[in-house]
Amino acid sequence: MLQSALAPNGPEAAAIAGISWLLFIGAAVIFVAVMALAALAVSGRAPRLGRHGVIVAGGVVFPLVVLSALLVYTLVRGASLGAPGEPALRIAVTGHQWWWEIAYLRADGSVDFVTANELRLPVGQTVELLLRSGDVLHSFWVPALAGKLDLVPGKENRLRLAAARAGAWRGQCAEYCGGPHAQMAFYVIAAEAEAFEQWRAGQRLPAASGGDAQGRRLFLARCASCHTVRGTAAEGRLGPDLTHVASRVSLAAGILPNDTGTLRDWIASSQHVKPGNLMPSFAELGDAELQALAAYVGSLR
Amino acid sequence: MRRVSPFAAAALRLSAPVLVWALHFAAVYGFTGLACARGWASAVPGAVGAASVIAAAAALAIVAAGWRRRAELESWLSAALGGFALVAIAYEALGAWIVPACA
Amino acid sequence: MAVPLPNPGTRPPGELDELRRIWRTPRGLRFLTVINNNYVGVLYVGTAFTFFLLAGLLALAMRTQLAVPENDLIGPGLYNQLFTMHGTIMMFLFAVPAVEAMGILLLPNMLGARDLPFPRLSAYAFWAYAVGGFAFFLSLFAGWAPDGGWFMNPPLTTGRYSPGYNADFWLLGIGFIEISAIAGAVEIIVGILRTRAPGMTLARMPVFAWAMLVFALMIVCAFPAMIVATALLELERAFGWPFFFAERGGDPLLWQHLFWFFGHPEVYIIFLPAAGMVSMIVPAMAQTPLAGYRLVVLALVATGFLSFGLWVHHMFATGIPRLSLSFFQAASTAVAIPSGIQVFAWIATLARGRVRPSTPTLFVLGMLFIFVLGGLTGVMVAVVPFDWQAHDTYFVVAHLHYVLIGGMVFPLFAAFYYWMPYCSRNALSERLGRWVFGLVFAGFNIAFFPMHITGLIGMPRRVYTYPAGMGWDALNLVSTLGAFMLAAGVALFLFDLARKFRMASEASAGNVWNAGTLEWLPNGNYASRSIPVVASREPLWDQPNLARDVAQGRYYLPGAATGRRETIVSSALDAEPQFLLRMPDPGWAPVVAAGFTAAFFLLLTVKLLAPALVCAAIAIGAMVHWGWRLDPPPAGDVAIGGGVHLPTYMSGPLSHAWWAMGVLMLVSASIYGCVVFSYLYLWTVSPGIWPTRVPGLGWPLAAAALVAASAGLVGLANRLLKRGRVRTSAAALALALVSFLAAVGVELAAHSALSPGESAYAAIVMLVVALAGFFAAAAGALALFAVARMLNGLVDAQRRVVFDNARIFSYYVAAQTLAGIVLVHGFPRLVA
Repeated sequence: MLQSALAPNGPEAAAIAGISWLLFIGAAVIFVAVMALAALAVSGRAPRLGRHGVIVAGGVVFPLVVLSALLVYTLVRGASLGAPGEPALRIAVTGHQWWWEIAYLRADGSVDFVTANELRLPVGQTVELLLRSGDVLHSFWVPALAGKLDLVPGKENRLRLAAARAGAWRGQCAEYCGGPHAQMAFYVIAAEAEAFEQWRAGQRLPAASGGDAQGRRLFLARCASCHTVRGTAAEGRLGPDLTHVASRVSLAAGILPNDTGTLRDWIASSQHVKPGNLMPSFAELGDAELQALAAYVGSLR
Repeated sequence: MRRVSPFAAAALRLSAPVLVWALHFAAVYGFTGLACARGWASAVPGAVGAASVIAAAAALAIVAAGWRRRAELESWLSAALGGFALVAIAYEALGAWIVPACA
Repeated sequence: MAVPLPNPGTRPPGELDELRRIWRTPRGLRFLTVINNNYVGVLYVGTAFTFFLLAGLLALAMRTQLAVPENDLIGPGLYNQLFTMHGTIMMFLFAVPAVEAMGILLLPNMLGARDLPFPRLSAYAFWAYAVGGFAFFLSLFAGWAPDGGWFMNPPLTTGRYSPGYNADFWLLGIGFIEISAIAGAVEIIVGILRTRAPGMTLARMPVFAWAMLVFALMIVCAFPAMIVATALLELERAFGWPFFFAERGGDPLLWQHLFWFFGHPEVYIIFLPAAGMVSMIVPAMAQTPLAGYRLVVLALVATGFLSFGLWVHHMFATGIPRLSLSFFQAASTAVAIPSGIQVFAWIATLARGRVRPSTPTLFVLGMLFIFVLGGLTGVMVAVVPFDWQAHDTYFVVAHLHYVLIGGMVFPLFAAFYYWMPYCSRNALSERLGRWVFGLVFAGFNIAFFPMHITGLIGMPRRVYTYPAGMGWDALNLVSTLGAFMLAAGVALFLFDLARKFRMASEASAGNVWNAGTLEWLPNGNYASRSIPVVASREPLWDQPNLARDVAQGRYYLPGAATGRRETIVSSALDAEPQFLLRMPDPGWAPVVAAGFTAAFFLLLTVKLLAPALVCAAIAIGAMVHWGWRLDPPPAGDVAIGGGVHLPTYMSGPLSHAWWAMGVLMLVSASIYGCVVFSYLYLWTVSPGIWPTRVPGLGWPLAAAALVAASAGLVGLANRLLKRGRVRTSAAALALALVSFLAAVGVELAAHSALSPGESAYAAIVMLVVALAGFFAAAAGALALFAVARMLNGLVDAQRRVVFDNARIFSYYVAAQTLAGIVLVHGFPRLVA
């Protein structure tokens, strides 16, 4: 269960799942009881159900008692929701049509490094996400970790998370944002502290030099106006930062596995894979050129 | 005019509980929104509490007034709606008591 | 309960034929001019149901796309249009008009009136809605259909992100429903409060009428938020006024507040009339009066008002402070109680009687099953933390379809089966009805129950495709199969409808259920032959021979006392007859006005300005022609039987026009309230853009003085008219208009330095000023119309309804404009 609210992996999602089960069981009991009363009433064998007191008891007193209890309980539980303690790490998540910009921040709030469509977290530590939007409304939702919170232009919403175990989970934009909204997903990868630090150190570095020379030339000519690859002349800001794109588990905002084959397909026909997204299909490139480009991008580990 | 005034009186009796609830709702929601935007979080619980006490008292008065003439549908309805307003006001006040103001 | 008969003797021969002749349905092409509530009601219901079918087809297309993962049958471009159109059509072009149409069809007969008080208004609203609605639907075939979701959240729907016509078509479609809903609300409120049969006090009023009264009042309070929201969005799209752009002081959440302040009550606007229908059908099926009548009425009214405290429950995930959310959780929790009351009242009624096994009963029981489940999931999504997970997932898709299909579509099907004999020569087939029910009920649950789970395990809404291997595949396939089963049930219903439905008034199948309320009296186009005296809630059960006596003309108004279409207007609380309202005949004016109103909006949407203005001129011309024939001169008192003499003319607070004006003012006040809210909201969000320097005090004082002068002149005109000095009075009224326009001019000049494209502050201030201008124009149009009639000798000290309309609306507009001046000049000074 990669994306299920009923398979939690964090304190907030676990608390909500607990509340959910209480709601499901309570609702099931009430539903069966009301249906049984209705069936009895229709059968004509329980005229006593027709008394005025039944309406008052069933329609006023019972709901009042149950709903009051539920309100108090859920307000109390809700007030203590969220990952505990001061955050060990802050990450700015900016929603764009139709991908996620992920900026890891230093303690002073400045940007440490930027990545995209993949959020890596240290297990067991509280992380605070600063949710922003670059264009329209989006909503950040990783059901396994927490409830959703919207990304609203002009507003910064804050969400605190913690992952209980190491592993990979999927998240998805939950607020309709036009076009291929269905294909605006991402992965959350929780790792033990040591592995996380190792990953973070790697992400801070500029891009690996070398790679396919023809592909590199093509990239600088055709891709650099939209994409950044740190350490090269590619400094475009319209699309995701690709400095370490090959280290990510997915492509095109969580919709394709990441290997040279899918990379090549994506570059050649991104409009077929994700109709309406802002990257054109580079169908005019020849096979050899596509191969070279994919090889270069695939070397950005 | 002779025949309109009983209707106006009934309309007033029926809308009074609705208005009490609506004014209370607008007041607590509006004040909380403003207070959180301007950083006056500490003032919120007290203000919501005070507004709720006043509104609850008004709703109770409506219930009492309507109940005295409950044989008449409009008065009974006014009292019962006052009861609903009272429950809703109490539910809303609960939040200020339990939930931190501007989290 | 024996009631003395007002006209105990036999009626003169020819009286009934005269009644028939006066209320005759126009034939041939002139059928389009029909205004009888029964015909307009059936056309209205039929059109709304057609939209249900069309939107249902769109749903089938979506379910086909989602049947398997990674399907490429339908791309996102079309899919986004499909779900936007599905939601918009179901909510705006099906659900609201359908329940309103049921009101138009049933209310007059249920209340013992000959027709609704403004039959031409109903016809106008219907035609504007039908023509505009179908044009809106056709936008799908041009690829111009809206694709921003039925809630159309900006900034996605602003000109920057949706430059095409698509969003404009949404605003257009909504415009029609705003017109028809508000016209319907005026009609229904005045009809219910003022045209009830003698003796039908509020406590004896059928529950459906209570439900429709609450429905109409909710429209008055809720639709204006939608009107303001659509106006703000259109101003953004057309002129770049930045209400929703944060960088210029706007806020995209302002839209959501306004939209959901309408959108949540909307759910209850749809549900309450349907619940009212159930409260009529259950007693007839159980052959016993409704248990807990007072509690049910209480539940309707309580739901109506609490539903206005729920709107943020659609915004739990937007990052609003948690305490604010808790207020909405509280109201969302409290609103469950009235629904519980109704469910138990129906159960108690079923237990009291002997339940007839019939198709209406089946649909009512199906409704209980589905609606109770939907209500319980509604309590779940009212819980803030739960909603953070469930919001915008298939869980909510499941919940809302349980509530709306259970709460509205099942009751509507029950109502179709139940009231078919009321307006058709044949009832629908009971044998097929069981199959229809079985397919629809099973298909519905198979389609929608799995969606609860699909959503909880992570599938969001409004996705045109989903990846395989997420655990969603099988559930989606089952949902698709269920959807087609549901569609098969609806198709079977259509088959039966084609076979059995034959529109009939006098020759209808009649009271086959042995029901107790007045709509089951023998009726024709004129409704019942005579107007009964009502002594209980189920007069047909409690007053022996009522049907016979009514049909033989032994009650009030057995013929046409003035030789025209007419109905008795009675007092709002006790239903004592007050005057005889003479009503208009069928005519082309409402149809022409409606057609050209629709054409005007359509042409405006595709930016063809000149033809649009021509159409507007024709529409206004038709309205003037229509209005000119209204307000016939007083014709003395007439006898309606039992020694009762009623005046044929009424002006002042007792007249029906005065009440309609009152409703219109409530609508206007709601609109204004939403604009004031927007002003204060923007200030809360962006206090930095509020100016420290505002126009000098001389400006507002001058404008206020001109407004006050205008109101004074209207008062003077009133006194002059009372003294019979009609022409001088007309001059004073015209002068009042001039003074008012001057006030608007002063306000415009005072704010001439503002450019509304630059900041949300400038935009909202200009909106307040523009609104003053708009209302001045509306009041001015009424005043000019009155002046024209005064100069033509059609107004005098007694015949003065047209003058009074202009007068009281002018007073209202003056007060509103003064409030606006205080706001835009006073508030910045207060907070500076």
